[in-house]
Amino acid sequence: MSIRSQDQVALLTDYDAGSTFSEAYHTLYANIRFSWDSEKKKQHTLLLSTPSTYAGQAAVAANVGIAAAQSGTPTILVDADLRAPSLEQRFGLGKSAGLCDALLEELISAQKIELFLRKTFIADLRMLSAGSSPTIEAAALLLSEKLPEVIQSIRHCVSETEAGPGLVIFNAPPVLIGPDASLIGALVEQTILTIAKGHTTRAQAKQAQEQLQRAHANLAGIVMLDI
Amino acid sequence: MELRAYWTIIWRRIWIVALIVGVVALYVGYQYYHLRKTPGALTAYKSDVTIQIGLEASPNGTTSSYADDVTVSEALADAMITSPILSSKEFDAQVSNQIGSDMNLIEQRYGPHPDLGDWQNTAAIGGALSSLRAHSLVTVSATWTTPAGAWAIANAVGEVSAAHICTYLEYVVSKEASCSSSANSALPGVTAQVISSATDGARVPGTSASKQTLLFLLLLVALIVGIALAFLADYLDDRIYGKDDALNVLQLPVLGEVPRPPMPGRTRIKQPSA
Repeated sequence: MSIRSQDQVALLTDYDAGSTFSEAYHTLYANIRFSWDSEKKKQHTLLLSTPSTYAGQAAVAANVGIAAAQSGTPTILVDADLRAPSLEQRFGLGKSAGLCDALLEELISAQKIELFLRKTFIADLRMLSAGSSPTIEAAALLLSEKLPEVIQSIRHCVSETEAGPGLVIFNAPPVLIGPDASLIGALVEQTILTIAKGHTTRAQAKQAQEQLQRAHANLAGIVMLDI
Repeated sequence: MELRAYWTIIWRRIWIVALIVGVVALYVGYQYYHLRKTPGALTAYKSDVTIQIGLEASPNGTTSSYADDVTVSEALADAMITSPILSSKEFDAQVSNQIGSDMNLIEQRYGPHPDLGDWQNTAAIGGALSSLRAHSLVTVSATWTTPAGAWAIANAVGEVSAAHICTYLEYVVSKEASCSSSANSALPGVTAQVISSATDGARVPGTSASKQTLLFLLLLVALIVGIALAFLADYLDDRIYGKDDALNVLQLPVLGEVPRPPMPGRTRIKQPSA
């Protein structure tokens, strides 16, 4: 899948650390960090999704992951957008086994997930790609009972390998195009909706919120894009 | 809603305001250009001449009281301004002919080849004349596109009135009154005398001067309509444009505000706050 040129270079590492763009992501990560209860949990799971299709959504998840990793938090970025995966390409990684392969495994464990994880060019940031054959049909795998096990295994993966608190960020497809985001949202600690200025409508935002609430996702807040 | 929020809405839809004001401004500019190009539309010149209307001395020893003379003179002056004499084709043709005869005088006053406007147009001359009466004094005003033309018409009106008023007003006195020779008539004839000769053309607002104000008002209305449409468009637009919008809809905290990624090589550096 092609990515618009500006989105392709919209990774935080492409910009000066003192730029407004970079500072905005570090502030966002700090605000997410404030809501952790790091005393109780060593790992934190977070879902980032948008109400409707928006080209820059994957970049938001990637950049939050980069901001977290740059601040010393061991982070796993999971491309759970099995319908239109793009994170591999953003990080310059080729296709490899990932989430959809994990969901097809009969027995899943942290060790197996560990095999799927790939290092990125940023220290402390690893990625679990969408998988070797992500398709719209593969998105139906998220409905299987394996999903909670996979998420649990990813969580263990962080806790087993890192001494300090770790972060798992899921990049999900838009809430309103399928149940994917709601399914993941129900299993993670926090869900954050991204709202694109001049793009997301009030009706879409409200419907997405209702959809996530029906799935008992913990909606922690919103991120305004293109301000 | 705060004023700042109103301004944000207008600024977001500024293209609507600009489009409407722009289209109307083009129309207003076109109309204003035509007004400027139309002689006498915005600025005209007015020249006045004052004439006294009265009766000749009584012929054949006919006696009449002073009071009778005053009454008749006032009636004649009244007839002069209320009847369509000044706009009649005959009178205006005489005025136009008189201007032709006065050309030397006009050139002495306004130099060679003075701009008299369309002075041979009798209908235009008739439309340029207006009159007022005070007792037996009639002030005729000529409003024209050029100062020389206004003076020439007023001056010609005075001369034509002095020479031919009897022709136009004799019906007021009697059918038997004669303009040609008072000796053959039992009744005195009607006379006119120029009391105050034609004044220099004074600048006055033209016939379409009020249209200029209307055009500016139209521009103002376009601005108001443009702003109203901008608010309507914003009301009908369901998209979220700001943090406050999102807060109102979702009632969730805003964890971050991320700007649009700058183009490579155009990285904005955050300015330290004072």
